[in-house]
Parts: sequence; structure tokens; C-alpha cells
Amino acid sequence: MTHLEKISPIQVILLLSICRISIVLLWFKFSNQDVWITELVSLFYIPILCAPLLFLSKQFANLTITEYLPLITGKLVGKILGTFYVVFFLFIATIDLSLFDNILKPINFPETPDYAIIFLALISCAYGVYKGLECIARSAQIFTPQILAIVVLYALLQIPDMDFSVFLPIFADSTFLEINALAFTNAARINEIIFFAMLVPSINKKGNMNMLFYWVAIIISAFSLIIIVPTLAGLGLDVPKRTFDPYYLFIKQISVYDFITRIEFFIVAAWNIGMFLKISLMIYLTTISFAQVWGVKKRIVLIIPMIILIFIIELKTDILKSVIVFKIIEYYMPFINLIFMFGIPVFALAVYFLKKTLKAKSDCNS
Amino acid sequence: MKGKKRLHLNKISTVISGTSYFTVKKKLYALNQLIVESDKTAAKISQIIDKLTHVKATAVFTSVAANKTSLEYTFKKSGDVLFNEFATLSGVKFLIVYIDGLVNKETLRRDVINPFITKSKEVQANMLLDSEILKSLIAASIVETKKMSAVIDDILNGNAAMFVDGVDTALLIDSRGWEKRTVAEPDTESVIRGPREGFIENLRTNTSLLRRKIKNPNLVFENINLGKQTKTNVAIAYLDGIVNQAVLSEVKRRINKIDTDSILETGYIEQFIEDSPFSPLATVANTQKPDILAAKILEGRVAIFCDGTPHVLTVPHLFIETLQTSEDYYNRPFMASIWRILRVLALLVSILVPGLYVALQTYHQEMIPTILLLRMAGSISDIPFPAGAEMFIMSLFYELLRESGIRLPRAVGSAISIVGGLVVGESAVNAGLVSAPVVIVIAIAGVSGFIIPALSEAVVIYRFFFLIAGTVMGLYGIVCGIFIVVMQAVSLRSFGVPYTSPLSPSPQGVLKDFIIRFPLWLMKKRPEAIVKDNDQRRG
Amino acid sequence: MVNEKEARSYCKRQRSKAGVKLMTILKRAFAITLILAITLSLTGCWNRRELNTLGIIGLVGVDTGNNGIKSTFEIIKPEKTSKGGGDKAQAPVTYMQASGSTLIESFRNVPVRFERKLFVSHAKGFLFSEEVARKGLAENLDMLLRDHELRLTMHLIIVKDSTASDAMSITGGINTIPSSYIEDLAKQYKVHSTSVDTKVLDFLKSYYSKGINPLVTVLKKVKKDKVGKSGQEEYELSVEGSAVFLKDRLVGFLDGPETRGYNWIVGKVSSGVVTFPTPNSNGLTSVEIFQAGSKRDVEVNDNDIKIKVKINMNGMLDEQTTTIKLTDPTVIEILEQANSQAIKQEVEHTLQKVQKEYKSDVFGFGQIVHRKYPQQWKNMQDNWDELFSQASIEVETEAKITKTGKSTLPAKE
Repeated sequence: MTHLEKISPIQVILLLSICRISIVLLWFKFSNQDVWITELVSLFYIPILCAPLLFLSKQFANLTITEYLPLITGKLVGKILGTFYVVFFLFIATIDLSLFDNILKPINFPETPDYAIIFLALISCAYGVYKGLECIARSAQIFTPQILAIVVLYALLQIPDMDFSVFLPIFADSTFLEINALAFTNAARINEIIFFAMLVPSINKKGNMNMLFYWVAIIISAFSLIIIVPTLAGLGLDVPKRTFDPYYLFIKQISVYDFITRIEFFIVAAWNIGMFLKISLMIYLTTISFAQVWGVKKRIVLIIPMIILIFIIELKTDILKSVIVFKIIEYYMPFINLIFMFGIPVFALAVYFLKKTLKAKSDCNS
Repeated sequence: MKGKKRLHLNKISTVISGTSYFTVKKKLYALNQLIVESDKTAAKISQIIDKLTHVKATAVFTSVAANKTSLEYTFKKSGDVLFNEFATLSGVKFLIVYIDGLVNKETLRRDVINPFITKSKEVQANMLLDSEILKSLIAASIVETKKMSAVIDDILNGNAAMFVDGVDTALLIDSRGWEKRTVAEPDTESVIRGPREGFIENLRTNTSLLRRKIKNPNLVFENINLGKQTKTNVAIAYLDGIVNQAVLSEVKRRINKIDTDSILETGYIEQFIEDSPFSPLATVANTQKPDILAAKILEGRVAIFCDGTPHVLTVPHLFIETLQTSEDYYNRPFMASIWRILRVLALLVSILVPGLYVALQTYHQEMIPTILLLRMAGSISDIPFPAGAEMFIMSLFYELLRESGIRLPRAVGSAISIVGGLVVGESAVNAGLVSAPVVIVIAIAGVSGFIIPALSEAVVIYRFFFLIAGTVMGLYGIVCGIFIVVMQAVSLRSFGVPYTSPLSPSPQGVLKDFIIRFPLWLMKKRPEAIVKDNDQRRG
Repeated sequence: MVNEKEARSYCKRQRSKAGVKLMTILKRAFAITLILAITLSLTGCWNRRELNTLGIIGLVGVDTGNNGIKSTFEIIKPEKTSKGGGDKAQAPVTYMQASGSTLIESFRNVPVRFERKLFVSHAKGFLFSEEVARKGLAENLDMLLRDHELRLTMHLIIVKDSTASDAMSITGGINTIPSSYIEDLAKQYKVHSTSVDTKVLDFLKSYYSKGINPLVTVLKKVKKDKVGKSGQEEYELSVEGSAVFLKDRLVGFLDGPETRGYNWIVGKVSSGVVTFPTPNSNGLTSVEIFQAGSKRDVEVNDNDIKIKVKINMNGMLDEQTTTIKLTDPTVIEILEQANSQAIKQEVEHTLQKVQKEYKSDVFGFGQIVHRKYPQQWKNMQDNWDELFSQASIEVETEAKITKTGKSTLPAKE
């Protein structure tokens, strides 16, 4: 209905990849030296977790999830579920903004009050949301290759300092069950499939949707590895466990030929822009889903209320405290993601199939 | 509906004292009648106006004297409108009207007057009154018309009008010849390798220069007159079969909507037809060289010529074109790619370096290598201004210098450069008013800004924007600024084509002409964003 | 043809369109000015630090003070132009001292008496005095990880036999700024291999890992031998040797050759000279080391731990003080064997000293056990240092003298 904006498949891939990679650049969690195995195994769990949404998107290729939920489950239930999704997107926008602030502030701007950082971020993202999905996707297409190139470049610059023997006792410290559990949790963090479900109607060349998303998963896993593995190789296994920005710490160490030192401002700019893109996308999805669930005609009207809402939530609740943010992201996010990317779609799928069989039965009878 | 009407009337009647529902209704009805009456009167008046204007478009008079007085009246006895009356040897009077200076008098005398006088000897007087025979007596290209308005237009365009006594048709003779500049190299687009012809102020010469590049019958020029007072000749050029029809029709629609007094330069047209007047990045390109224009037309663009200016517009305009010069294609791909990379680097340096310098020095001193930091600390130790203010003042001073450098007369040129160099460079640094690194940074940024002339206004605007962003919030402010600037650039469309293609949205396959220019024998397709159907370059 | 109805509606549309355009332009301008005004009014520019309000620190020295810590800071005075400088008598630095109960508190006690804010991101090294190191470094290291300005690439140095503030004021050599002098001195380990270069990150990696303990750079203040000058005593710093830690407490020192033994074992020898007595005569031979490597292995059989080290070296004969025939390959072989013997002695000496006296595994054999026997490591990791001190050692060395310099026969006839 409001799908006037068309984006191309490669823009979707780049946009969703940068959403996850900018979070990994800021913060990642690992347990021991088998983290690379965990990453590779999570590639196996991602298709399982994403299957219901992919299937539903294929069935309803021209509708977003908040549009076809009422179709499947009836208007009232659909509205309730749609509102859940609106709140979910808003929650992710708030949490990511808070994470961004928590990492930016102690590193670079310790004395700046939080509201200044958040205000500037919200203004920039509001401008992005105002321009629309096309512009966000195109900016992602412009920025993402540079960001990925910078990450690879930094990894290359640090090769002399890396000591890969930290990974050596493979499989020694974790059992098969542990690895699988960790991989599952990792796969549950990748909630980009929900954004993908919202973006499907805007893709102009609908080829193979599944392949599209698998590309996203592959890029995310590959670059997560490129980020995590050199960091652990360079810093050892123990120091990253005690700090919350291991990758930045790793970058700060680069010293090649004694004059290429202190070149970390590229990385700061990179994750800054990546986070802005993600937050713009989140706010955009919030406004779109709200407009679709509650029938608001003009999407633009919703932008300013959303911004003010996020601002108030950030400042009034405790969500800016670093302890709370990290706890939410580490422990609660996988569960919340699981509900929205597996729970509700499975429920919708069940209702869909039920309706189909009922309809077939009634067709047979009549 | 009726109920509502009654409600409104009731309301009105309660507001205006001394009225009731019925009086209000009667009065409204009377008002309605009045409106209808005035409609009719207006119709009548416009009919009369039509007639009067039609009178102006009246036919040519048969008698030469009447024509002469009518034209004298129209041209308000202007001193450069010349009326020459001749008579043939058989006594038929004829009148030639032209504007002195616009007409090649030699052509007129040799091809028109003399043959007419000599050849008319052989023709009977009464047969002369036949316009067909008239036309055959003259050796120049002729259009015949019966309307005075066409005569006036053509005289103003430099043709000569010939009236013969007894014939109610005027002959318009093409005899243009006025002073024009020679075709020379334009001094703002000079090249090392490539042709050095540039457009001049004459529309027909410009179109002929383009014709010589593209010898193709599909190259179409469409003429329009724009500007109510100036009636400037404007020509739209395109290559039929390759051009994007949607863009072409949009261009024509927008040009036809232009309603203004004067069109003195293509800049006027540009400001009327462009998509985003408030964006620092221009969505309409202009050029002064025929080879650049030919290359753009061959990629499916539309060109707009304007009489009186050597600058020709091309639409649609993409960001990538600002990074390209014609030499990129005449030189071999390796060097061309290197120069392109250099240009992109220069653009980034010119826009970002002043802001980055201030941001790093004021907020993020840990991101500068130690030795550099100590040097900078040493050199700014006595400066009275904070870093941001210093950079701002120096940028302003640089802009003043640059602008005065354009306007100054040649004789004073070297004096200004000495003043600029000495005053700012040596004395200010020695006096401790500005620090040497700031002068260096501004010089580098300024010099790099000249590498891409098409973006010079955008560079200045963005430089100040990033400077302010960097002073306010350091690297974070600059990154927010980058985000906003890129968002805005990405949302631009030039006549429907996205401004940042082929970077995004990108076509299938490798970008062959963006930063690295592939060899010409590999660039087989025309740019996908502009040309929709006919996109193979070979045939 | 003017159709007046069309004309009127067109006029109305134009005016309304112009009106709408004007309204949108006004609204946009208003919105932009509002946003700009709000944004600019936020600019307390809270984090703005002009360069001339910062005191750039080169070195931080930590000693024990009255109630905790006394830190000394070396603050670099930036020179005004590049024309000055080079005057050794006046180093462009100044020193500030402050006390506090924690490290960061002492940092914040400096601006009470100093007019600039301390900027510690460019500090080159942390100097801890021996006293502080013997008490344990871990409590001071928390600030290193938590504070955003400090980098993990700073050198961590223990100062022997004097306080850190003493060592910081010394400028030997050519560099006028002590922090550059100390940093370059620390990097000299590549040339002589009798010292180590520890960064804070290396210390943390070794401290947290259960299979290895840190070994840290040591600086000692020595008297300078005066050449041709008279007057006051001058001092310079010597970086020879290293400090052995057990977990985070200093337990002892190694001298120069012992540290080279350590470097042999972990394979960090890059250059240096091995001198040994020439066999069958009473002169000395010096061999310059081109390249050296080591292979470490640990064998665990129940509770019997065997440590195997294999060291190989490539060298060039640099000096020969006797008259043996150097063109004979067998003679070179004899020299090589003597070389290997010399290296073996160094290595064994170091291993025994560290094992018996300090009982601390600084070489990383625990990590090898962790990699080789992961299951058994779980039982051994908590008292690995004890087990290490009772392990048996096996050292094999192999030296190759591949080149003999520019001349073939010895100079002495």
C-alpha cells in the first residue's frame, strides 16, 4: 500500500549487513577460544530460525509483516501482534542508541552530557527517516563497502601483532553441547530477518528471497569472524573479557613502522555511520509499521512523535546506565528476538495452514 | 446537502443583524447574478482584446508607404532600423527593411537588390506582383508571409524584410551577419589533450559545432523562443533513438512552463527547470566545449542551447560527471584512473580537512601522532584565538582573496597575490595572530578545491558546514554532518534519474567508469540510469 | 486566445501554488533555524580542550608514598618553533609530583598546583618502583584498563635500586626528552637481546593467563663514565636485565646474560653477539647472531614433567682473537660446537635460576601444556608454578656459523 519506495536487492543485502556489523564492531561476546567454531556453527542455525518468516514472506510477497498478520489471524489479533512489532522496533532503536551512547561517551566524550549526543544522533537519523527508505538504502550502498574495506584493512595492518596460537586447544574447553548452545544464542541475536520481512515488498527485482537472506547471513558471519578473530589473536583471550570495547582497544594498538599509529578515527567514523544507518532504519520501520497497523495516511507525521518518544525514554528511564544496557543486550536480547522472529511467525504459520486446510475441506465439501 | 446550506445561511443571518434567512438567501442570489454578469462582460472584453491583438497580427499592407509607416510606428523610429526604398527599372517600388548591424549588407546588395533590379528588367511589371516570381528573382533563402508580427520578429532576428508595392505578401530574406567572437579555447575549461574549440555567443555557430561532431540525421534541434521581453532563441538538442524519452518530455514540459521577462543566459533556464533549487549540488550541468557536449548527448542526455551565451546545459546530470573530464577519455586508462582517484581525494581533502583539523586538535588529541601533536602545540602556544575561530577567520579570508582574484583587473593581479601571500603567510604567522599549520591547511584545502570546478560552490558550502560541525562536536559532529550531507545528496534526482547513480543504485556488473576507468574497448554499454532502451554502445 | 475562465483558474492556481511554495519555504527555514539554534545552544562544547590548556605527559612514575601512591609526571613543554632545541643542558620538560590513595586520585591531585590539565594519552611509559612492584601491580592496573585515555601500548618498566622519580629525570644519550630516551632505550632489546620490551598489554596477557607469568623491562640508574669532562656526576640509565614476576608480584631480577637465556627460549633473539673461548687455544671468538629460533615442548607422564627446548641459531663470525685456521670446515665445526655449548650454558643457567630461585614460569610452558594436554591441564593449572619448579629440563642447541665476514684468515699472525 505504501510501498512506493523501491530498493534493489544488493542495497538490502548491504543495509542489513551493516546493521549487524556495526553492532559487532562495538561489542561482542565470546566465551573461549572456540568462538570461530561457534560462529561457523551459527551459520547452520540461522536458516532454521529464519525459515518461518522466509516462508511467510514468500507467500505474501507484496506485503509487510504488519500487513499480512491481520490477514492471517484476523483483524483484532493482527492489530495486537502488529503493535507488538511496533514496540519491538522502537525498543531496538532505543537499545541501540543507548549502546552507541554508552560506548561513544566513555571513549571520546566523557564530559559531554548524554542528551547532547542523543539529540544530535536523533536529529541526523530523523533527517534520514524523513528522506525515506530509498535514501537510507542508497546511503547504505555508498557507505557499507567503505566500512567493510576499512575493517579488512585494519585486520591486515595488525597481522604482525597477531598470535594465532591462542586458538589452539580446539574443542578442549567446551563440549559439543556448549558450542551448540552458544551458536544458537548467536543465531538468535541476528534479528535482521525481521527487518527483512518488513522490507520485502520494497525490493524491485524479486528473485530468490532465500538466497538474498543467506547472502546477508554469510556476509555477517564472515565479517564477524574478521572482526573477532584478529581481536582475540592480538589481545589474548583474557583482556577482551574485561572490557566492553575489545575491537576498539585492538585498533588503538596499531603501530606499523612507527609512524602509522593512532589511526583509529576511521573506525570511529565507521561505526558511527553504521549505527546511524541502523537507527534510521529502525525508526523508519517503526513509523511504517505504526502507519500500517493503525491506518495513518501520511508516514511523515509520525516521525517527530517517535523521536520525542525515544528521547524521553532514553532520558527518563535508566536505560542509559551502562550496566543495564549490557545486561539487556547480553542476556535478554536473544529471548526477545526469538519471540519475534520465531515465536510469532510460527504461530502465524500454524494459523495459516489451519485456515488453508479448513478452506480446502470446505471447498471439498461444497 | 440542503440541510447544510440552510444551516450556513442561518448562521450568517444570525451574525449579520437585521437579516433573516430569506433576506440572506435573496442577497446571495443577487450576488450570484452579479458574478454571472461580470463573467459575461469579461468574456466580451477578452474578445475585444483578441481582436486588437489580432489587429497587430494583421496582414501586410499592399502599399509600400503604408507598410513603412506601420513599421516605423512599431519600431518607434529607432535609429538602427533602416528603410531603403528602391524602384525597379519598370517603376515598381519596393522597400527593404532591416536592422543595421544585424544584417550583412554585402549579401543584401549582391544577392537581393542587384539581382532584383537587374532581373526584373525582363519581367513585366504586372507579373512582378506575383510572389512566386518575386521569389525566383532573388538568390537568397526566402520565406513569404502575410502577417506583420512575423515580419517584425524576423527583422529583430536579423533578417531583412522586402515589401513590393501592390503585393500583400512580405518576403523575409535570410541575410544574417553580425559581429561575433572567433571560436577559441574557453579559458575555464582548458585541457592538455583534446580539441580546443569552445562555444561562442551565436546560437547557430554553436549548433554547427555540435553538428560537426555528430554527423547523424538523428541529431535533432528543436527551437523555442523564451522570455517575453527578450524573445531569446533557445534550442534543445538530442539524439533521437538514444535519448530517454521520459527525460526529453519532462525537459520540454518544464521549458514550456517558463514564464518570465528575460532569458539572458542558460543560468536563467537552469534555475527555472532544476529539480532542487536549495541543494548545494547542482542537478544541471553546463559546458563550453563541443566534444564534451557530444559525448554527453551520445550517452542519452538532452542539451539546451541559448543564444547569447557559450554555456550549454545538459540534463540529466549525475554526481559522477563532476569527477570526469574529457581528458580522462582521451588519455589511456591507467593514468586516467590515477587522476580520477586524485580528484576524489582532492574533493574529500578540500571539504573535510579544515573541519577534521579543528576537531582532532580540540577534542581528540589522542588521535594525532605524538610528534605531530608536540609540533602543533608548540606552534599554537601563543595564538589568541581558539582553533575553531582561527580556522573560520582564515577560511573567510581565503574566500575573500579568491573572489577578489576573479574580479581584479590584470594590472593589479600580481599586487594582490603578493599582498595575500605576504600579509597572511609571513606577517600574520610571525606576529602570532594565526598559526602556521592553519595557514597550511587552508592553502591545501583551497588548492584542492580548484581541481573540480563543477563543484566549487558546493565545496565552499560544505567546507563551512563541516568546519562548524567539527568545532561544535568534534569528530562526532563531522560524522553527523557526513551522514546528513550524503542523505541529502542521495535523495536528489535530476529529471527523474537518481543523482548518485551509478554508485547507488548501481547497475548489474562492475562499475566501469567510476573511479577506475576501464579501457574504452570494455565499456560496451551506455550508462544504465540514463538510457533505458538502447544501451549497447556498438550499434 | 485567452480563455478567461482558464486564465482565472490558472492565476488562482499560480497564486495558491506560490503561496504554498512560500509557506513550505518558510516552514522549512523555520525548522532549520530552530534546529540550528537548539544545536548551537547545546555547545557548551563540554569536551573541548584547547591544545594550550593541556599538559602532555611523557612518562608516569609510581612510587610508594605516605598514604598510598606518589606519582611523578614528566610533562613535555612544546617548543615554540622548530628553530630552537638541541641544547642538552635544558631539557624541555618539567616534573610534577602528587600523592593519593589510588592512582587516579594522584592524577587528579596535580592540577591543584599545575596550571594545565594532564593529558596522558601520549605517555610513553609507566615506571613502577621496585617497592610498588613487590607489593603487587594488579591493583594499579585497573585504572589502565578502565580509563579511556590510557593506551595499552605504553611500556611497563620496573625501576631497580632507586625511585621512579629518580630514574625519570635522567637524560643520557642524544634525545633531550627523557620519555623518548627511555622508549628508544627499551626498544634496544632488538640489538643486544639482553633485555625485554614489555608493554602493558603483554603484562596483562601474561598475568591473566594461567600458563605464563610476566617478565618485565628493568631500568637501573648508573653512573656515567665521564669522557673528557669534569664537574658533577652524570647518570644514565641501563636497560640490561629483566624482572621476574609471580602473578603480579615482583620476586626477583635476572641479569643481562640470563635475560638473553630467556630470549633464546622464547625465540625473541634477533641480534646480538655470543662470545665464547676458542677451543684449543686461549683466545675468544665472537659470533654475531643473524637469526635464532626455538622449539619448546613439554612432556607430561603422570606427575613427571619434562621440559624440552631446542634452540637453533645462524650466525656470522665477527671477531677472532687467535690464530686458528678459519678456512678449514672442520675448524668451523669446532667453533660451532663451542658456540652451541655457550648458548646451552646460558639457557640452562637461566632455566635453573628461574625454576629454583623464583619458582615462576615466565617462559610459557604452561600454555604449551594447555595446548597439548587440555584435559590434564585443568588439574594442573592452579599450581603450575610449583610443578614447573620441579620439572626436569632438556636443552638442545644447534649453532651454525654460516659466514665469516669479509676476511678469511684471522688478523693475528
